[in-house]
Amino acid sequence: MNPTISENRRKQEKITFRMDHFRKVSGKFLINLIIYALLIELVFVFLYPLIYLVFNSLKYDFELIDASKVWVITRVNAENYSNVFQKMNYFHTLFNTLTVVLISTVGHVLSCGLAGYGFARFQFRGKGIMFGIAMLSLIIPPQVLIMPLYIQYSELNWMGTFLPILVPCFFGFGLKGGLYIFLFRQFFKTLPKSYEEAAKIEGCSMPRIFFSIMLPIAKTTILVVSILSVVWHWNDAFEPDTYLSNYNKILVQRISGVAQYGVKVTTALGNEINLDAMAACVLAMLPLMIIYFVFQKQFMQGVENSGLANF
Amino acid sequence: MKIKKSKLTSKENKWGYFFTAPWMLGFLAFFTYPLVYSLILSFGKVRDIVSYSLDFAGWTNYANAFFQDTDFIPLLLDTLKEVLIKTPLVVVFSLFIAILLNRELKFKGLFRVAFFLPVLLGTGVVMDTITGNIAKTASELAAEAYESMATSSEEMISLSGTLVAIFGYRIAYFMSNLLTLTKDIFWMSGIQIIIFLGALQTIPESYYEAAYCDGAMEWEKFWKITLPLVTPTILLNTVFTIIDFSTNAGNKVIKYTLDTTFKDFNLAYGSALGWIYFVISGAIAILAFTILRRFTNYD
Repeated sequence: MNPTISENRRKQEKITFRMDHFRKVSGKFLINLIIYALLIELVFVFLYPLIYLVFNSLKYDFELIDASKVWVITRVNAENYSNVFQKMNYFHTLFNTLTVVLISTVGHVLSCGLAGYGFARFQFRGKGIMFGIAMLSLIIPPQVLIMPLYIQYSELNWMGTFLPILVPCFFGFGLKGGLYIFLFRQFFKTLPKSYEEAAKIEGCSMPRIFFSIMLPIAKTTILVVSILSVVWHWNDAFEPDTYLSNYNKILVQRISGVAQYGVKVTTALGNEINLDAMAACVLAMLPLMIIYFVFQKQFMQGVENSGLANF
Repeated sequence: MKIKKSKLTSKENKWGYFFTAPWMLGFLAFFTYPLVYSLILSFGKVRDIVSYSLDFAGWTNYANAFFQDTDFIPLLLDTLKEVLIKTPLVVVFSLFIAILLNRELKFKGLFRVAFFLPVLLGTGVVMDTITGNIAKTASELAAEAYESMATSSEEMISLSGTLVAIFGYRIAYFMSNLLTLTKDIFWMSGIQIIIFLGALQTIPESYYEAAYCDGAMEWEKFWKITLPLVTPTILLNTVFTIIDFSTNAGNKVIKYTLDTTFKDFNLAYGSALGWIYFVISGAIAILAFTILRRFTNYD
C-alpha cells in the first residue's frame, strides 16, 4: 500500500510540475512576444522618417510619381548628392561645423570639469548659492540674454566670427553648460577622497592632481559630456543664426536649407518631396551619425553609470 | 569651546575658488551682465536704434505685453499648456520604455540607438524637412480631406482621406491631433529614456529576488520596489523635461520673442517678453521641483 501511494503521489507531482513549468514558460514567452512586438513597433516609428529620407534621396523624380514604388529603387540616383554637394559647398561648411563643434566641446570639458570638481570637493562660502545659479543658467531662455550679448559682441567686433559661440564655452556658459557642471559634480562626488590624500602625501599640488589624476579617471563622464556637447552644438540653429550671418562661416545645418529652394515633386501619396532637400539633410546629418555610432556603446554605458540617478 | 577649523582645511578649501574661477568669470561676463542689462532694457524704451540709448519707461512694456498685445498671451498660454500636458506624458512614457528595455533582450543596442535618434536629429532645418515631408499638420490634412469630400475610395489613398471617409470630419481631426501629440512625445523623450535606464540599473537584482521569494507578482514588484527607488530620477527628469520644452527653439513664444526683438527691432519690448516667459517657466520648474521633492525618498 505504502509504495503505491507514494508512487502515485510522485507521479502526480511530476505531472503538475510539468504543467506549471509549461504554463510559466509559455506565459513568459507570451509576455516577451508582446514586449518585442511593442518595441519593434516603436523602433519603426522612430526610424521611419530616417529611412524614408535616405531612400528618397536616392531616387529619380519620375520614380516618385509611381505610387507602387515607395521603397523600391530601380536605379540609384547620385545626381541629387552631387547637386547638393556643390550648392552646399560641403567641405567648407563641414569644416566650419567641425571647428565650432570640436573647439566648443574641448572648452566645455575643461571649464565644466574644473567647476564640477570645485563644487564637488571643496567647501567654500557661497558654494550652494553658486551651484544653484549654475543650475539656473539652464532655465534661462537664451532670448533673454541674446540682445545684450549681441550688443556686447558687436562692440567687440566679434560678429561674423566663431568667437561668440566658442568663448563662453571656455567659461562654462555655452549651450547647456550647467548640465555638464552637474554631471561632473555628480561624478567627482562618487570618488573616494583617498585618491587625493595619497597624491598629497606624495607632494602633488592641487592643479596637478586635477589634470593628472582626476581627468583620466573621469574618462566616461568626459565622453558623455563630449557627445552631448557635440550633438547639441551640431544641431544648434539659434546661436549660429544670430552671430554668423557671414556666408563664409555658415554651418552645415543651416546651409542644407539652401536646398529647400529646389524643385518639389508631388508624389502619388499626396505629399511633396524635394529630392535635393532629402540629399542635403542626409549630408548634414551623416558626420554626426557616424560619430555617434562609433561611440554609442561607451556613451550609453557612460550615462548609465554616471551616477545621474543618485542625486 | 568653539572648535576652529584647522588651518590646513580652510587653506585647502580656498582651492575651491581656484577651480571655479573660470566659471565665475563666465558668470559675470556672460550671465550677470546680459541679465542685468536686459532687465534694464525691459524697463526702457529705445530711442533710436543706432546708439541703443534708452528712455526710462517704467512698467509700460510689461503692461503692453499683458493688456495691449493680442498675440503674446494666447501664445504664452498655448506654450504653457503644452509644457504642462506633455511633461507628465513624456516622463511616464520614458519610464515605461526604460523598464521594457531593462529586461534581457536581444537587439538592446539597436533599441537604445533608435530611441536616442530624435536627440541626434535635433530641431531645425533637418527635422522640418523630415517631418514636413512625411506628414502635413493635422489641420491641413483635415481641411484638405473635408474639402475633397472624401467619400469615394479614390481619395482614400492618403491617411487623411481614409480617416475622414471612415470616421467623419471631427473624429479624424481629433485622431490626427492625437497622432501629432504622440509623435511629439516620442520625439522629446530620448534623453529621459537613457537617464531612467541608468537609474533602473542601479537597483540591485537581489531586491527583486527577495520579493519573488515572498511571492510578489510583476505588478507589485513595480509599485513597491521600482517606483520608490526611482523617485529621485523622476524628479530630475521632470525638471529637465520642463526646461527642455520651455527652451526648445521651436517654441511659439520663443519665436515670437525673437521676431519682436530682431525683426521689429523692438529691443525693450522683446526683453520684457523674454523676462515674463523666463519668470513663468522658471516658476513652473521650481514648483515642480518643490512638489516632487516631497515624494522622493532617498535610501
